[in-house]
Amino acid sequence: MTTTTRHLATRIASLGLGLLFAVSACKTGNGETNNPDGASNANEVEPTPAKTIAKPGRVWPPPPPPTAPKPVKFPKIADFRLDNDLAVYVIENHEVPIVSAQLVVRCGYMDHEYLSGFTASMLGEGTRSRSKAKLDEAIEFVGGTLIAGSGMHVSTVFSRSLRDDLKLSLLLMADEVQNATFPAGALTKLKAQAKASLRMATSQPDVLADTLFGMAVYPAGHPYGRPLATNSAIDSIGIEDVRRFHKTFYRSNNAFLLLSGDITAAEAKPLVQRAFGEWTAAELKDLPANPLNGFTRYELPQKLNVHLVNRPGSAQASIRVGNLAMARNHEDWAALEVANGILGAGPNSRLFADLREEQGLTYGISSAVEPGQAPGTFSISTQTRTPTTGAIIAGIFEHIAQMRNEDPPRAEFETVVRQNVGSFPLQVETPQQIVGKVRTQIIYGLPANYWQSYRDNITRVELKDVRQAALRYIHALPVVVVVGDADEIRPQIKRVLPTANVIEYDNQLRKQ
Amino acid sequence: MPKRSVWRRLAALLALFGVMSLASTAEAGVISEGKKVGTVLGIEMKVRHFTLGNGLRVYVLEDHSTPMFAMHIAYHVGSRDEKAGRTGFAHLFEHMMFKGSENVPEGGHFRNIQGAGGTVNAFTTADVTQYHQTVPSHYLDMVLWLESDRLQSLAVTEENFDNQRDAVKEEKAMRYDNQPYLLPLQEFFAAAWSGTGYGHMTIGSEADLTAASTADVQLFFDSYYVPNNAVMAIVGDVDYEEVKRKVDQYFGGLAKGPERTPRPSIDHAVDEPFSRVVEDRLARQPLYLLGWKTVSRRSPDYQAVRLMMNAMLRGDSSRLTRLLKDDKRMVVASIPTDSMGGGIDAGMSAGAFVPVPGTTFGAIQDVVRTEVSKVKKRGISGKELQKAQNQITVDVVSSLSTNNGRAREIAGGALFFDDPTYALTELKKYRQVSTRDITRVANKYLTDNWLTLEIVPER
Repeated sequence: MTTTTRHLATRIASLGLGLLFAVSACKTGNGETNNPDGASNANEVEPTPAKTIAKPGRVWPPPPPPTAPKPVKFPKIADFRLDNDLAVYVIENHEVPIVSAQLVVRCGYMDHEYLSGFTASMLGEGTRSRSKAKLDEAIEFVGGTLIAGSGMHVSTVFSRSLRDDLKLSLLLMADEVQNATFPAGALTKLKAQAKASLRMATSQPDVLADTLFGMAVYPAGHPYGRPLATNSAIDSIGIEDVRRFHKTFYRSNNAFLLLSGDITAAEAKPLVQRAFGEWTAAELKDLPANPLNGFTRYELPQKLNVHLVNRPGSAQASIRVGNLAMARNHEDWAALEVANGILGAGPNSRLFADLREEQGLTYGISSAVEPGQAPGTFSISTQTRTPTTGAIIAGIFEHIAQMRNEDPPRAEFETVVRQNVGSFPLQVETPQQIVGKVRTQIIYGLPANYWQSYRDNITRVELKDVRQAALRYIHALPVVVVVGDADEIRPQIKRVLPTANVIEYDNQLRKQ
Repeated sequence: MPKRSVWRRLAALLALFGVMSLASTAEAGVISEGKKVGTVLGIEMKVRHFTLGNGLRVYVLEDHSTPMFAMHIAYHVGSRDEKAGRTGFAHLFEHMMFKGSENVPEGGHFRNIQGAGGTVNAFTTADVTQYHQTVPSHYLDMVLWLESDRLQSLAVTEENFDNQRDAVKEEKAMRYDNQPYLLPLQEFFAAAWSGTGYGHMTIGSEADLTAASTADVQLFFDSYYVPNNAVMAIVGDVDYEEVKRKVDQYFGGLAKGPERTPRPSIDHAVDEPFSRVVEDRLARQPLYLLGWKTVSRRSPDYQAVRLMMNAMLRGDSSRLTRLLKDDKRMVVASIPTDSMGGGIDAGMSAGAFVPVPGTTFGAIQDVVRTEVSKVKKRGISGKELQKAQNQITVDVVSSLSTNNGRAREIAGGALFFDDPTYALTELKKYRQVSTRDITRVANKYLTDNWLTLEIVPER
């Protein structure tokens, strides 16, 4: 999740105390899937995946074969539209009497680095008829949740409550969205929090690595490749800016509502009408254009550049290797997903099996394709002890070359396809998971039947497509970012990448 | 060569050749069956269950909405069962369970499940060690085969053991030693329960991990990893009769093991206040913890005590949090620690506070003291109680919204309360608590013998 780590909201959330007590389970491989059972008891300790290398010389019996697979239905999604053009989607699931609502507003960090986050955070600070205390009391009384945040492309107000309290949740949500008062005192408080988070974030090597990687891959000014936030930029935000941002983007025809759980479209309609029926639409000409559309030319590096950030005394090096890839709705996505599965997604992948298990160069290494409305990145992320920086970079380049030069063995290819297809039912079990999928489909402009045909699209990938995808999207001249003790690392880079051009930075990402 | 008791080796050998399952007809291994239905708020859990002749208890909840299922197997052993000088062993053993067995190579369990598109993991607490997997429903045989193979023939070798001991130390370094607050909190809880099985951390100490030997592993395996010390829960797109037949096929050949010794009950009496001040080099701001030893999860007062603590601390509109955070601006965060710091048989109720810079622990304690005496005198309002009940209702219902969550709850409920629907049984109990109960438990448990911990950044 390289893009998201750059976001201010994540930085603020990283200070959240809730994290303190949760020891989360292993992450799922697919970045788009939320694991609803992520949090667990603080006393629990979980195993790391065991080594995956079988001992030579012993033939192991195969496990009992699977029985015939059953069809997976992606549920039918009902939708309707209010007169003010608010689109509403309903995902029914009556297993437990809970309903979640997500109001997705089409504005995010891409529209403004700071304002989208502050605007979302301030929705809960009071409305024309309810103080913050009153809002808190009302939602907490029913055991519900109401929270807002912003991401790169959209901002989201989320609520969850028992079915019988859906009406209340929607009314509170609608009140915040339409009638927030944005008190100046609350902005001062949030700005102080943001600056505290920024201090903490810039001390973390992974944040520095992700930020610099984005800056190196994207053209100047691109929202996906912004430099570090600054205190002075935070200070310069005024409450009128927040109000203007809210007024511009928080409009019924610039948002959609996802309802999921123990609810039908017929039940939802009057509740949504009552809560959001009076929300005013924007004139289409007043809605700003998508800022990503302003970037029509992306350039690839013509030579190998290594961006080296000096953190003297650092015991570890944080490393990113990757390049610009494709937008989420590109037709090559499925082929790259398979290639990425072979190379670096999960503990069965080559990078993990070789560089972690076989060579012991790192505790964790993975690759990922970042989804975006504009072209996202393909990247490999890892950390290693300072003296093994050269070795792991060399290993990564070898694996990239192998992906580009050779077709994968059929068995390996089939395993990854089977894994991707097989895990699909696990990704559509709960209404929240399905909402996540629908969000992805809408936000990234995927075809309406995308998830219905997802498994077919994966199985349609042929062995030869893997190498084609690697040649196109896993580059031989990638951007390399290393954050660590520069004096120790510089000679190692010279040794393993003798032709590379090394560009050096200080620990605030200022070019040296 | 791993040591193993003779009868277990024989059982494993016979099962390998299919002799055991041939010798008994498919149904012969099932000695009892039953059904338990829990219903609250229109949520129904219809659990069918059976027990094999070797004592393995199996609980099945069918849900055919998605072609997948979750399987949990819980062994009644945790860090509280560890011998002195062997702390961390239950969890270290859990790692060994992924190191291969008679028919499965090292790492094969992970690889097979992930290759099917499934997920697999395990966790160890003071009370239980639980293994779980979620897979597409057509892989039922594979999951049962993998679980039964390691239960009957775990590969206990020096090489595996050394390797996992190192892995656990690495895990300890990453997840505990490098996190602010976590270590001082866990050490505090351990100290508070010293002299009981909860008197040390589940992750264990470096020295004890180093001291453990393969002989310990074998003894632990033979004592606790036996079918009569386990419960299995399967939830999802499965057929009960098919599960029954197949579980018998894969597990029926295992012999019954020794019965585990019952665990002692835990004394909650506190004669004097218990306080600690600890420096934490990773912390950037102080953290205060304040609480009481209250009741075990089995106590009839457990639900009232938890509701009382939540009414005081959970959410920005709760009594103490509103007062400390919004009214007096003394803390930036205030949260109930709920089930932290003990386990099923040892309950501690506490709140954690992150102060606004400059606020002393003493000042926060004064506020808490005043509020506690108000609650003792006048109780809490019906509305406050209902809010706490509503919050817990949503928690419970949410935990039952996935197959994995339900399997987890069923296994835990069956193991500790002999009730696979205990999640709903307990929810009923929460909803029956009255404001009078709250006043009563406040006076009974919120004594002057506080437990306090002050974590301060290292100077």
